[in-house]
Amino acid sequence: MSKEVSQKFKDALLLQPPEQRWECPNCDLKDVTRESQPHTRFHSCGGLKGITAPMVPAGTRCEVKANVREDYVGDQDVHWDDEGKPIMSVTTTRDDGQDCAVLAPCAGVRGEVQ
Amino acid sequence: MAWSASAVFRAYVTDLVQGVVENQGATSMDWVEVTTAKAALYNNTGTPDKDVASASSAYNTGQWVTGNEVADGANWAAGGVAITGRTVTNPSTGVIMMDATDTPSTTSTATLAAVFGCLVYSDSITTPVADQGFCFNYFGGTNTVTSGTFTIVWHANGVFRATV
Repeated sequence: MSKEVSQKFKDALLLQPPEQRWECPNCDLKDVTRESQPHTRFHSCGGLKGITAPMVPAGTRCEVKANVREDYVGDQDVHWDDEGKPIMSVTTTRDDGQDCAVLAPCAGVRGEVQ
Repeated sequence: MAWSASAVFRAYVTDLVQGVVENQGATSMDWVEVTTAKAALYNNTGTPDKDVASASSAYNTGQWVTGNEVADGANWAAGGVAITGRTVTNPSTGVIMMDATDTPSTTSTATLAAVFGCLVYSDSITTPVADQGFCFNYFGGTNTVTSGTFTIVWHANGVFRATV
């Protein structure tokens, strides 16, 4: 290899992060990401009535399910689906395990002037 | 006893207004400037109380003792996982919103059972109360992950917010 080509390699060698293809078993969305760190792609899922749900690596055999809140809502600022149900979490059940994305309510402070 | 709601600690707001806690250094409770804020996971044994004194709102005190904590080694460490991408914004009239990037487990091989909620606290503050809490967030029931990824997806309205 010539000195010039070798130097070009030293200057310009930059590996792209691996491509990760995603799909959603509940809607038609597909996506591609390029990140070196472990990551999950979330989306607003039409198949789960608008809830924020994780996508799964393309070709993964799994079930992605939204779980309704198990307790009273009261005045809590929770996540609602398009049918007005309070959703607590989204679980992804695979052959070799289960992921869980909890949809955390927002904690609030309210001020008053009397 | 058990979880029933999410809330901001009264002591946090009191300490902010009185200048007991500051925005950087050893007394930092600044949501953005604090070096490390963490989310520690808890089962349903304790009874979170927003009105406790500062000393009982901290990690490993009062209801937040490690005996009530849910952890899994390096996957979701005891003491919690760092909350990153913290911001403070004013999205609408009268609203101050404290938000963050969604918080995933450190690995995709976590196993956690009966997770009911989390304590959000400053891992940077050491005085007057070490690891003082900002707020706690009740997930609404029991949650489990098996050899997988556990992610806290923060609400679009933030981790916590104040309305004036």
